[in-house]
Amino acid sequence: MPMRTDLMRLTLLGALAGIGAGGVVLGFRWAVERGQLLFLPDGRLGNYEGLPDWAIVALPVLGGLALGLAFEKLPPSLRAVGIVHVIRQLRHTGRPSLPLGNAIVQFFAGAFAIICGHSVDREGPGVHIGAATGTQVGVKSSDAETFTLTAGGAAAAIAAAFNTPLAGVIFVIEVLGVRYRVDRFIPIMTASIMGAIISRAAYGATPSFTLASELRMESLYELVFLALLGIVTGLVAVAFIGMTEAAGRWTERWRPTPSFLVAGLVTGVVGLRYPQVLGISYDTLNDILNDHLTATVLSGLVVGKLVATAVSIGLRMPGGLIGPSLVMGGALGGSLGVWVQAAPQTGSESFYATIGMIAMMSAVLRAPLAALFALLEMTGEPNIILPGMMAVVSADLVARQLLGRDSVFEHLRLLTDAKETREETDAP
Amino acid sequence: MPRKQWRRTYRQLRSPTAWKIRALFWGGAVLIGLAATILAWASDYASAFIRHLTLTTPWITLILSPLGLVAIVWLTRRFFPDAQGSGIPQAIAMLDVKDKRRRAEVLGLGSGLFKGAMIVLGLACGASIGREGPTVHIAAAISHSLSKLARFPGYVSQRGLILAGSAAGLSAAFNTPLAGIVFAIEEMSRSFESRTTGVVFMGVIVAGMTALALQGNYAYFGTVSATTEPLDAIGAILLCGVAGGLLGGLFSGSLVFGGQYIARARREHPYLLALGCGMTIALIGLISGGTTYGTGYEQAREALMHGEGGGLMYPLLKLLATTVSYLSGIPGGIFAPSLSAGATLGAELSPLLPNAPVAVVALLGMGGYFAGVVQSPVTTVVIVMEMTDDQSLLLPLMATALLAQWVSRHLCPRPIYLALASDFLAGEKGRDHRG
Repeated sequence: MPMRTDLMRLTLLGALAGIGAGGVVLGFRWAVERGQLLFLPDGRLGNYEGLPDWAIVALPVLGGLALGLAFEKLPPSLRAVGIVHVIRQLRHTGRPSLPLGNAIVQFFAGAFAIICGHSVDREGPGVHIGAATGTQVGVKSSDAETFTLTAGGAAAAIAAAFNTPLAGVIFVIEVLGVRYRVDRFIPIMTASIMGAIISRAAYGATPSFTLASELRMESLYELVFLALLGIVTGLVAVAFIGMTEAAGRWTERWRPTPSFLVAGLVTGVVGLRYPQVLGISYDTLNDILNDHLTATVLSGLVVGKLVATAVSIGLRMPGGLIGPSLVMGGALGGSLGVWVQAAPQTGSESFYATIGMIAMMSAVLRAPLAALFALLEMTGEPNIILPGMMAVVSADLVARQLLGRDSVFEHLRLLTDAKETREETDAP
Repeated sequence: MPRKQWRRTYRQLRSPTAWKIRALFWGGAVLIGLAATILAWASDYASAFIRHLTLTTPWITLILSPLGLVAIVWLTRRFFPDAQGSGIPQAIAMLDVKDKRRRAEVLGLGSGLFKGAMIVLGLACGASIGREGPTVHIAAAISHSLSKLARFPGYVSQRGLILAGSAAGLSAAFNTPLAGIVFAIEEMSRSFESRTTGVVFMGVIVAGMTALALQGNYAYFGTVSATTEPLDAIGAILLCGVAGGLLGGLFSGSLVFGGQYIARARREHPYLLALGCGMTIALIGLISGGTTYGTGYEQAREALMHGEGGGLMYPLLKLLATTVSYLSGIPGGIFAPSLSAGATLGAELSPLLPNAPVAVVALLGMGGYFAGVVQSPVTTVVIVMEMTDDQSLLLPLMATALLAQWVSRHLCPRPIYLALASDFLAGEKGRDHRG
């Protein structure tokens, strides 16, 4: 039966794509960490807090300047990177594959931006380079197969980043908009499993940050707090998306150099007050999730991270926004959790921080199911799902009500499309 | 931010009609949670009843099962012929049915309630059936009936209501909220419609909360702690994936093809068939020592917690008893019996793998067999994780489920619920031609 041998072959290629994507994502992470260790004090990763004030401003500004000057040298087609680029290639071009050149640009530019403390994550670049690895594996296959392998690479990247193979698969459905078909998803799931195995071998079961244990709801009336958390999270997500889009629209005509320079300046200035926002901030997220921070710091972090990230992403910095969303949501949930402690019989701050993180991911990416899968896979506590669902759904409803059905990536994509059309008409 | 959307939100928040519809939907979901809880209690009671009865007088099922099954089949045919079988195929079939009257008939409240009562009766007569399919049927009936009470806005189609109800029913039946949602997406609609997911989520939350408030927090099988070295797991993955896929596919295949094969006998001699099936169930029960009656919950729990599989023959006998129970035409689900057969299959296979802990193999066996039956890998992984409160085995479980699904497709080319749903629709057509 030819169809089944094809599936077998594609599944094996999917495994290969997963291994490749997992490896490339680990390589990216390694590059970032080597770079950070060169200058960060105490040899601690993400320890931007330990830098002197002048360095907190100078680092992102100079980094932005250098990155901008480098980007000026690149042809515009190579500047397209990140998840928006992946979505455009997969869904809006005739041939669903990712060019190798953009992925290489993404690798180095993304690593450089993070090292210089810009408020972006490594998951956006990870998804891009992982998906591009999938394309390379499927270079000799038909278009439909390349599509599947590319999606598999993206799933593997998410699976490797958080050790969440199922959430990786659902992410591909919800965020990248790949339609569910059983035969297509056997290779994608295989790729995702491989990505998780690779990452687990290198970084253990908690590759990015560690959640507290004993996360649970203590009484049913906490549902009110969780719904409230969801609504506030939804509003913050709407503000974040709106601000990102506005920043992108205002600076639409800017060249890379001023654009990255301003992004670096804003990050640096915010960093003077809250140095935690520099870089990926997963070390801070660790503190948030294990309640080591006060409510004042937490709420300040929400605002600081929001402003720094919205400006960076809006100004087309080559990094992702999933990690910052997690940090914002964690800080928001944590600060609510501190207040909730006044009531008797409630869950811990960590519980609220964890749920806030997931709700923010759901509202920004508009991926409630992927967020819940991530929650299940990261905590391993089925009983957290129902309370988590409460917050996730209210956050999602608020975002949907105010912004419609599109994710932040879709908003950014439309912006890029508009820009390209205009440039084409402007050109002689 | 578009001001239009703020205004729309404001309007929706103060519109009495919108609130009425919301309250109605939430009320329906509360009812679903309530119904699932009641059905859970009643079937526990029925299972305990038959267990005590067979402890003292094992041969009683030789009389009870055949007569009970005949009675159930008679009642079903007399009052609600649509109530036979699992309930999930019916809900799936009704997703795409155009005929509104027919839809209202199959998903009528009466049909649902009747089905609930019959499942309890069937369990008390020793049939090897589960309660989740009927819970889904009842839940879909409740949510579908809501559309008669109010005009739902366009985005909450009847299809969405049926999906939401089914997901809520499954979630509340086993305290597995995420599995309910994934099941509705992966197994029932076989596509991902972001339009309906909002309603599905809402239904699951409210129904799940109701069940939680009534029953407290629990994992269906309790907390299973199983960890293993990755290398030892490879053997277990291969073994459970292949064996689970083969047996699961065999089971699915015999339900689908067996159902088509005996369709005529069922039409012409339904009571004789029920009598024969009841007799077979009783005989299988006697051979197994009384363990194949009911949902098989105890056996699965034993296998997962203590690694006791209940004898090499148990998984096979359970498979057979479930097939016969289903073919007899009584209302009853196949979920729980399949989980039971799978878990014990794993526990029985574990001596072949001395390095892997028994609990690990039992868990993977459950996943493999279940994935072989329903051919929905994501649902399988989620449901096993949520039922056993364990996620350390996530990767092996996913691999087993994928392998089992792939093996099972060679034996049963179409996923069981879809195949049964189209058989249900085909049966409809046959009846229309005759009438």
